[in-house]
Amino acid sequence: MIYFDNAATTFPKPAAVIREMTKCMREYCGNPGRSSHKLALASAEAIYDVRCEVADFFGISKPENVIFTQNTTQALNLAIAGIACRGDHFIISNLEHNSVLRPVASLCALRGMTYDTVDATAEDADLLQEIERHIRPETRAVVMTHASNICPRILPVREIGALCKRYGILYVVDAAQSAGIYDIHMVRDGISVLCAPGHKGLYGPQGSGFAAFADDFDFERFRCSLFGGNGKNSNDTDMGHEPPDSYEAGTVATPCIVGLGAGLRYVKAAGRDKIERHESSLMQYGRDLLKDHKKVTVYLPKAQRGSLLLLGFDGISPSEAAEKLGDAGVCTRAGLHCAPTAHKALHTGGDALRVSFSAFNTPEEMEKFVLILDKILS
Amino acid sequence: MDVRVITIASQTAAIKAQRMLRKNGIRCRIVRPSPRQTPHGCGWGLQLDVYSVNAAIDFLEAADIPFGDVIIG
Repeated sequence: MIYFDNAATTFPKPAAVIREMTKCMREYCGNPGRSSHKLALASAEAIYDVRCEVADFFGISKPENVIFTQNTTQALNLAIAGIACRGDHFIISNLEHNSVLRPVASLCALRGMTYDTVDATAEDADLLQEIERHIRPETRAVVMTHASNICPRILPVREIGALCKRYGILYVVDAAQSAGIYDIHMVRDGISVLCAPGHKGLYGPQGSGFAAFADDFDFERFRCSLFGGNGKNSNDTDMGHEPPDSYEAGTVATPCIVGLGAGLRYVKAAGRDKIERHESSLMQYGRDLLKDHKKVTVYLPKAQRGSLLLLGFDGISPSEAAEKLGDAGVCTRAGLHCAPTAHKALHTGGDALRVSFSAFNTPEEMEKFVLILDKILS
Repeated sequence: MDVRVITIASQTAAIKAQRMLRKNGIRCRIVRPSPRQTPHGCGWGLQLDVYSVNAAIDFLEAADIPFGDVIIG
């Protein structure tokens, strides 16, 4: 089998991830934050260790500012709903996943906010100009992807962060496709909130994700959007504003968080920059093998960096090609990829095939994939 | 040993405080005081020797870790 669906979730997972999760479930895994017995404290200590590792990896000094969620979507919902107030204005891009577009659009309808969309397929300088042109006195935040989930487009995070700092607005980054692959330092890049999954470029399990908040983030104005028990101040109906506990109602997924920590350690040991180069070289290799194929369209064929390819075909729909590839043992993803405005921007016609890579893929797999695809297209 | 408990609202803050105090040579353990002992119910605490309380408070303040009352442990 060739697994080229790593933008959806990476597979396989490093052995250490499975080992740490199994150890957690076998040996401790009490309910963290609820009791002070040995098993509950062991879980809480293990989770705190991962908070420290995540904070350190992404360049913040307060581990308590790492709030665990089940995935990036929950992290983005937490961040967007937490900062949005009536009358606020948001700026997003046309490459957003529905995990950004839908919460922003829904909150606009519910809370009387507005948003503008900028063209992130433009050159970096043009994108920055367009963002700046849309900034208004009531602009509260730029909420934008770091790396597109459908095409090899990496946004200039540092420059956008600097722009946001200059105007005193928040910068929320969707790092679903970039955390663990591309260099992210929240202080250097001016990121207010970084939302990321554990189960993609950080090689953890599904069910893990987080929102990491800048050290100077003002939680007093940050609304809670998930209410319930958290083992503290139980007499109060108010959740409070103390990260992370005020924003982590209910039992957190200890084995998943522990697995996320093991995945992060795998990335650090393998070398994030090496993984980035490896995935970009696979993207370039695949693109070079396919770019002159008469029946294949490669979207954004000049990209230099990226962990995925987006393809269209003559004579067969991408969804049909994905089915046939699946039958031949190649896992890819076709369709809209939950990013309808991105498909519109790239003129895919609403269906394209995404092939996406991880540290575990090889050039030989790429060659095999091209041969199988060629057979399907002929 | 005569002990006291420095109350702390969350377990995360309690772990952070415990690790910081340990680095500074103050031994303490994380405990769960009775909800009747904490004003909002269900809090956390660091149990430590009574003679270490003042030093611990200084460290907590310097590290900007929020804490509450000191109660009999």
